[in-house]
Amino acid sequence: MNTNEPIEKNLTRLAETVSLRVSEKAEGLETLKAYMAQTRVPVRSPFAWLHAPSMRYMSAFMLFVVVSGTGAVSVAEASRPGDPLYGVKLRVTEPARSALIFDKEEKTKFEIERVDRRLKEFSLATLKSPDKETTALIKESLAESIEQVSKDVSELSASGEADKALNANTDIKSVLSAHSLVLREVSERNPSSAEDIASIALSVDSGIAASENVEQGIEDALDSSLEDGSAVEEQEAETEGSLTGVFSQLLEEAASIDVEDRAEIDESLTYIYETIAEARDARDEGSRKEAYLLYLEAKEQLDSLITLVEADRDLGIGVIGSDN
Amino acid sequence: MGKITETAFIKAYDEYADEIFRFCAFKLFDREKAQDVMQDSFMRTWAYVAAGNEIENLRAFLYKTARNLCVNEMVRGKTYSLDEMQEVVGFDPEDSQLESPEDIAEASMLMQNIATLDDAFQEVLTLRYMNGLAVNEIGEILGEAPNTVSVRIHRAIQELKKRMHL
Repeated sequence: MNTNEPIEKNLTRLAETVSLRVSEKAEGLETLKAYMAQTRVPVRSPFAWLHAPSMRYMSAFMLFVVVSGTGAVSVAEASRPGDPLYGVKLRVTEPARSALIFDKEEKTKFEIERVDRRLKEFSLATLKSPDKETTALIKESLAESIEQVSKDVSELSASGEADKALNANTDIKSVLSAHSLVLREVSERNPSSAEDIASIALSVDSGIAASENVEQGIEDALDSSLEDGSAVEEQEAETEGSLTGVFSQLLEEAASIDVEDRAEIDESLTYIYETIAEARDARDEGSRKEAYLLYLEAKEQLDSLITLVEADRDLGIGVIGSDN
Repeated sequence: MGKITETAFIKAYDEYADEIFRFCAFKLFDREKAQDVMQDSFMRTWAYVAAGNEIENLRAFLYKTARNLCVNEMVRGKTYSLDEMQEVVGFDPEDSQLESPEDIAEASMLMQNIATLDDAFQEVLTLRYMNGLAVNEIGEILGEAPNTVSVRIHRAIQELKKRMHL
């Protein structure tokens, strides 16, 4: 240390030595992005009580559920079809959580997550031949969530937020389409559950049709939402974040993915990269709508891919590479 | 600032990760722990944002979160060897901007002396000289009046000089 220099200068120089390495910062950013991609279902932050001490937004009913039944709520959330608290999860805890979300876009995302969860739970349950009551419960919850998403999409579109409406509509369509393929495979392997599967598949197909019905209308209204360019940036970040998340997941599961599936996954990823490259070109050329739609398309493909990879893993069925 | 988008938050990581890491490093004197706490600070802040909460000053919020998390990790009254300080400094031949290993040794010695100061003095020195925050910004993070912060900075410098026999 140069003792002729004031100590303040030496302290400032010390900052140059105590820094993150380039690789550490890059790794941290990827971890953060993957975390952000996975935490789109809003949860109550552990710090929320420090900054929002008032419980004014919580009705007495929800307070009762959370405070007096805290243990029951946690167990309910983890329950699966056939568990005693599964009905509580579908009819009480999830709707209560949804009611605590005030942002329309976030609420819609939460409901889409519910649809995805329901269909995953149902497909897993078919391995053990679900009872009629469980199927009816799942069908009821599915129908409610799909209807809620459809309503939210209309409201977002009507309020001039066509980009958010299109995003949500694309998300629900990609979730339902991927699960439609899964249900087809599951039905072939479990003929004894064919009737129950057909009943759920009907709700899924109906949801796909509804989202396709409104898609063009929302796309036509997109221009005004894209005027300031921030929607394109947000979609780009969401798509890139999703790509990172998918990559991380594929890396983790690489050992369990067979050779045939790897080829199919590579093909899907190649298409996705090409779409993202086209989106970047469109963005650079100033074609905001085209860029937005391409990023959205890439995100839809990523969501479908990961749904199929997970179904392949969890159900042991060859869904990857199934045709529509 | 209000509601924060994902893009804005990722930009904030790019801007503030280094200084939050440095802040934690000068509290914990453990490179790996400092990285973990820095990362945890960003993730918890994002969880708070994703829950629908708004943040007026993201930088200050990150510092406060990191500060709270460091409290749980700090080992009080510990003395640190030069080797331990060198690990925190984190010399990497591939991307170090320092000129020589002697610079590393000197930096480590300065850190060793900083580590002997009171937490309150360490804090203000880190925020003021290493992270370049203004007195009023430091006041917001620590919940103190700017004048109090100025006095503390002055006293911290005097104490550090005394320990280094300057």
